Amino acid sequence: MKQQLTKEEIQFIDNYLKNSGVEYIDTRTEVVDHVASEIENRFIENNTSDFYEEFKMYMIQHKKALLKNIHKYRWSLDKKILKQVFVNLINQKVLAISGLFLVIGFTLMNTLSFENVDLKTTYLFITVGILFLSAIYPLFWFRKQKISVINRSAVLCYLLNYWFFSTIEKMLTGHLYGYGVFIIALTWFNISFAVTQVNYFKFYKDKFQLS
Amino acid sequence: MSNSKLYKGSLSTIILKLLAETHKMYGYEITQKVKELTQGELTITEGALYPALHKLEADGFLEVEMQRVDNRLRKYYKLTQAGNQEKVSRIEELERFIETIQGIVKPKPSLG
Repeated sequence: MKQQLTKEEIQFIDNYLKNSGVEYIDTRTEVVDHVASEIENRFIENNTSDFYEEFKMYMIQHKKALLKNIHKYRWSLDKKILKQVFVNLINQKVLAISGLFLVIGFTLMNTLSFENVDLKTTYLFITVGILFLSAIYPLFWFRKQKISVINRSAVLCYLLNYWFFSTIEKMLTGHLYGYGVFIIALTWFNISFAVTQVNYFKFYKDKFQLS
Repeated sequence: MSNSKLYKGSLSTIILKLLAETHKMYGYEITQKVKELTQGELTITEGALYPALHKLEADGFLEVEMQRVDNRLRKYYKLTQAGNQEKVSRIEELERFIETIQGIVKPKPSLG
């Protein structure tokens, strides 16, 4: 009597869940394992090996409960990401990259006259570059596989930058010193976000054996 | 199970307690263990279990380990050091709660 599901049957469960809205691979992986374990258990209990019949019965009984709260941990995830971003602010790599940006910034300011330097444009160029690297690179790398923490941190990064620009930046317009401090702080924060995102990327690449 | 609302607030404590007694467990194993320990009285649904596990993981009380088992990846959960401390305080909290409820449901007869 068959007791273990085949690769094709596992793939069938995975596709079914993906089409049912369990889009993130980190969540879906364990739900696939849960469903597969239950079906294998039913093979033994019901003395059967009819995968599709057992799968159908399981989904009739459990689909609602299975999908109901699957993404309910979003706020905890946001908290976890932000906590890690703040911890990484004093990470050696983050401090070194931020220092480098600072040196480049001061060098540019000293070598060019103020009239020629559009600080906003320069900063926007740098920030967009960092955001692109931090948020787009992992998404591009994983292609069709969505990972909750990576997608969420990209969204958080954009939202926070939008908020910073729509409130604080407007308040500081015309105050060159304050604007300079704002640029340095925001660049430091974005570099920390980028390093955090790259660390998550490495972690999930290894854990979920993605390529 | 007759009244799932009574158990709802204790789910995270149950998970922490089970993980403290076992080195590592995966989601389905947790549901089966709870079923076994309570002789089927308490059934943890998938819709309650996974958000609770993800929240505990996000809060830093659990860490995960992936293993390839039977043609699929399996996610094992382990307690972190913070999770161990959290388990102790949550169990104390639950014990106090049970004592309080017992005091209401089964009050000790007074001598006066």
